[in-house]
Amino acid sequence: SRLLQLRGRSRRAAPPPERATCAATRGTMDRSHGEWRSAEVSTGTTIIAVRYNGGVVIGSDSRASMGGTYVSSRVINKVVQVSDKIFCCMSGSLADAQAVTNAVIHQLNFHSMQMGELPLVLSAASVMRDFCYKYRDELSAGFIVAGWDCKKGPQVFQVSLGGTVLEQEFTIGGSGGTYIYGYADAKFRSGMTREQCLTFTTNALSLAMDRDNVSGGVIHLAIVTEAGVERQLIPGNKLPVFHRI
Amino acid sequence: TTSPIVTGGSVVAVKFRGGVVLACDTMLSYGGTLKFKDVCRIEQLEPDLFVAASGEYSDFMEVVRVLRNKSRESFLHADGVTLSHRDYGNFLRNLQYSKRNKFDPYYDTFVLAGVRGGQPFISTVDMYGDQFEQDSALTGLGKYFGTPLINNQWNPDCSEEQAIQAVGEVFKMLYLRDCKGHDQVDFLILREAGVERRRARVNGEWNHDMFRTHANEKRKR
Repeated sequence: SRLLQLRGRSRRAAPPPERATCAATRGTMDRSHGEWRSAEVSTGTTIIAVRYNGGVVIGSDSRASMGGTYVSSRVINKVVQVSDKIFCCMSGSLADAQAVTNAVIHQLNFHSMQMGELPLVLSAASVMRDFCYKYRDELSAGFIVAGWDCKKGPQVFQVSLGGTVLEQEFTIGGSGGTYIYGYADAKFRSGMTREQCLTFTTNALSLAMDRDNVSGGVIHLAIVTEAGVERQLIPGNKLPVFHRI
Repeated sequence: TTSPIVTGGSVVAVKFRGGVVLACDTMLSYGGTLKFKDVCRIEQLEPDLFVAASGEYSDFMEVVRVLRNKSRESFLHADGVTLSHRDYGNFLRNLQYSKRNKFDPYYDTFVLAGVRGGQPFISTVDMYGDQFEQDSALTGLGKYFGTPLINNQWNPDCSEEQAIQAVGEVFKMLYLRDCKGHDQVDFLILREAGVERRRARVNGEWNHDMFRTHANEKRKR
């Protein structure tokens, strides 16, 4: 209803009250004990996409969490293929992100059938934007759309929470993104080689996952070039390690 | 939109003799994060009419889409009748007012700027549906910091250089005192003869004595 919309973002305010607390914790100050059980699943994530000379590298962590406490899944891949050479990264509410992504895959598939050729990365970003903007009051999900097309080559687009679309050379998103703005600003170079780009992306994700409670697990990567798509997996014990204080 | 997410900063537009200067910085914020640093926030509607806005960027893009559709619609009538600058302003006012009455505004203050038949034009429409056609337009924090600066250093009949100088002063002030101020500014100079785009960086003020006194501060006992 309109009244709910006026309150803006807070429509997902409090989770429903917990059903039962065991006797041992009743009356204690520990409020985090049961809230996660009724919290919604979020991808609270770190996602990144970087354009280099000849392609794009897209990466994400693999954690889904509830209430910032429980890891409900440690294996999900947030880098989703929406077309032959276009990927999108999900962040925010997992339900919303999955729903929008599935809708985009369907619509892009239809669009490319009509056109008789592979869709442009801009088309994918546009379709994504239409959903995010139209349902901005109901949705709580942000995306990165990246890939390769024959018209403009490798491209990276950020589709933010309210439906803003902006093309960037590189972009970071998700809750973990906050921890790596400094690293990304300092280390990013225009026109890197594929190897430099992979190092940059992997380091950035690893640093974010090490500091954000709702990012973690493995690194999922996708490298898209004119030649095709390559997917990589970096397990948790093979992540780059920095100083441990 | 009732709570904006990706927002743009102040927009400043002033008339000068025979034209208009429209300027805004090149940054979009994502809440408190200064996220996108290199965005041109000025959009073209007609060869001689441009629009910029401060507020929610996705709503700005949507309104630009709507306005461009209006322009296309008018063109397709093929009846020789073109929309005047004032028509755009009035349409935008009606649009904003009707959205406001449904508690679902386009969360922006728009500034339209153009020159036609030698006549400069500036119109501001805010998210409540207020429209003002005036000789100058300042939105956001620029309205508070810039209005006195503009009033002292500019008049609608001044030269182009003076107008650009005055607008530059406003953005310098915004860079110093607006948390979401950015040092890179896009200028659009509209004249009857044509349009010129410039991009410039404003300088900060780092020679203030107080920086040094505070840098060498000793704890008072």
